[in-house]
Amino acid sequence: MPVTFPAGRSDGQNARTSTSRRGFARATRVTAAVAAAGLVAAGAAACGTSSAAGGGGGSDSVVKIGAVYSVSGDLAVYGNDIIDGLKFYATYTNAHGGIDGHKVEIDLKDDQSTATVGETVMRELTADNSVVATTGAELPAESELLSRVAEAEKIPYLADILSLPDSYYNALKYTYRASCWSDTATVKAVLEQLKATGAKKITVLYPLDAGGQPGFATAQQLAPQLGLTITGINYPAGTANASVYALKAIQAHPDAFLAWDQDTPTELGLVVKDLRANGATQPIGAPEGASSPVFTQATGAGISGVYYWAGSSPTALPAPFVAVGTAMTKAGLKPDDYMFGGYAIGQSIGAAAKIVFDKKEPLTRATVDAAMETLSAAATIYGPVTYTPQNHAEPLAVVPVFERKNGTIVRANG
Amino acid sequence: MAYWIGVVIAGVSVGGYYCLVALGLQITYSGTRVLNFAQGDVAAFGGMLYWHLTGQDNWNPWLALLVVAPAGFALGALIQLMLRPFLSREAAILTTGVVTIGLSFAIEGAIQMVFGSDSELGAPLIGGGSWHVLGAVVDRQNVVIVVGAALFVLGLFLLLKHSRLGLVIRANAASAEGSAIVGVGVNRIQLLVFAGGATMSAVAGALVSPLLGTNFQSGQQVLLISFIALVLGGLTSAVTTAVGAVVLAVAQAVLGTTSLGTYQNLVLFGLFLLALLIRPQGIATRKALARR
Repeated sequence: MPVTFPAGRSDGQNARTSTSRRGFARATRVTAAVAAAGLVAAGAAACGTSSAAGGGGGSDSVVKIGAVYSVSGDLAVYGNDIIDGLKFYATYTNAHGGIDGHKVEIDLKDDQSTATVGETVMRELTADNSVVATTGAELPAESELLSRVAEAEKIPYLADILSLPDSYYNALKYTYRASCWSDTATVKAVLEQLKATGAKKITVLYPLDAGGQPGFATAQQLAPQLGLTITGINYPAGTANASVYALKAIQAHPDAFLAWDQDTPTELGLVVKDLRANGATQPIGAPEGASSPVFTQATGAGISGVYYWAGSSPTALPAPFVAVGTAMTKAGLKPDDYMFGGYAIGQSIGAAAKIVFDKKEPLTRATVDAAMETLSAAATIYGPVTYTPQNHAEPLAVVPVFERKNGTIVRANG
Repeated sequence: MAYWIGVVIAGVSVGGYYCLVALGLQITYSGTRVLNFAQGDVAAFGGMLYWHLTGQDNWNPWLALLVVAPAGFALGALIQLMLRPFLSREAAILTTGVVTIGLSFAIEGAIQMVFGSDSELGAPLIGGGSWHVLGAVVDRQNVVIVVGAALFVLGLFLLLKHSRLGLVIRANAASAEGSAIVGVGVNRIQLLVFAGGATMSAVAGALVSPLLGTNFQSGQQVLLISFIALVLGGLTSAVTTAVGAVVLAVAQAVLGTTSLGTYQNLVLFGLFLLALLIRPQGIATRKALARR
């Protein structure tokens, strides 16, 4: 059955390739845009506060998931891709008979990239008794606020694993974490790929922000087990003159470069362009965004020796996601890590609902919560799959997406 | 050696960008006594509009530039019109400053709403590729920025020094009241100055877009540096402001090669504060300051 995607964005942004959720550092760099969101509140509201995917049906027959993500504001670049995946989960599942015949519905609320707005709309969601589980937030601060609402209202809340630190998370009862994307798996995979080219000394070029620093730290941690020497060249996030740092990286004379966590494919492309333009012939790992046409526009044509994540190719996905990836592509989406993250979040909650239905229990917040507690790895999400120019035949990592609340870490690669 | 030439060239080209925005700030302040905190956002607007025309709609880059310039002019005029009710009030410099901060937020939000959140690249003005200069690789767009900035500065100089309009602008800058007494339309001149400054920023944003990329927030960094250059120039010295902007950009680039590169803003602002402590009036020459 062909799957359509009725709730896609109308602004052409579906084709955007998501880059790095770690780019949320940008949000902390600039609070101004958050304030600007208030000034353009009318426009932000028009961007969508609530929409449903997957059709309706009475509340008795619907698995209604409340979602709080950024449709507008600085984090919309990440939020919209997660939302696309989440909506697509509902559309795809409903087109294939729903969950034991029950349709899935997403009640989406725009947090406008602002934590306090997220808390407010989370309260709106929890006030709706037909919402049986919630998810949301790109930033740790907002995840904490949402989890407080979830705990008070006794509704399951699935956060991103990176958003909630262990120290806080372990004390929560209704809050769960999902590892929708794995920096560690990505760094490991691309380092292995660079090592396969013969590289032993790798220089990581990264911005000094909340995404760049952990990526470099991960590369350093992995270096001993991979037999690599890792050095780093960092630069202030948002600097106008990253080309100077490319020159500096070249001066380090590594065997290969890893361009890590530039905030957008454009910035990543500019870094790669600067390296190549200044004579660097070594392999360059550019795992996040190099598959984007915008990256190629930035580098110019004819750039070679760049190793990147080609996970957006549906045929390169592990089996559970091939059909979904293909359907996403047919629906005009470009599957990426955020999109699959959103999909996997929906799938995790859907798996809990299925347990409830299979037990022939009523679908309530309490039964869904109990079911989520019993899940260990409700869904898997692809890790880095295929690299170019030398393809890996086998997936390098398939990362369990869901972590039980009881503290058992099942995330395999991160 | 080629390495250092490359570093300096990278600094100088970004300096051309800073220079245009800083001069836009400077002539606006000189002509209207308004510190326009939205000046950087006008540059971001110019960059995003240029990207939209060249990258999305495949316009000829030169034609796109011909659209960006009047669009920047119009945006500057609009800002000035919105500021006009506050200009005659007490503590106008504070009031108008706060209003332009608000406008800065609004412009950023509007850019994001219209053009999106991603960083985007406009098309190079004279085609992609690079040249080799003394062993260093120089992107053609680097040269475009430097030449463009130089032409703009030259044009501004000729306009202000050798035209009747320039005379009126300078008279207005020296004394708005005096100009009004002799029949100069002060509001009209101030609008023209404001719009002219915005035009410079918008064009600067367009020129730098193919090289560095632009997004709705990219005006903030250039605004900070431009303000330093402006203050170093004692707020009114165009020459010191322009030179200061380029020097700051080169200093940024050179700092980037050292272990202090990570903290370049800390170092630059520290030196800036130190310079002001030593010379609160800025580093412009007495002669330049006497022209105030």
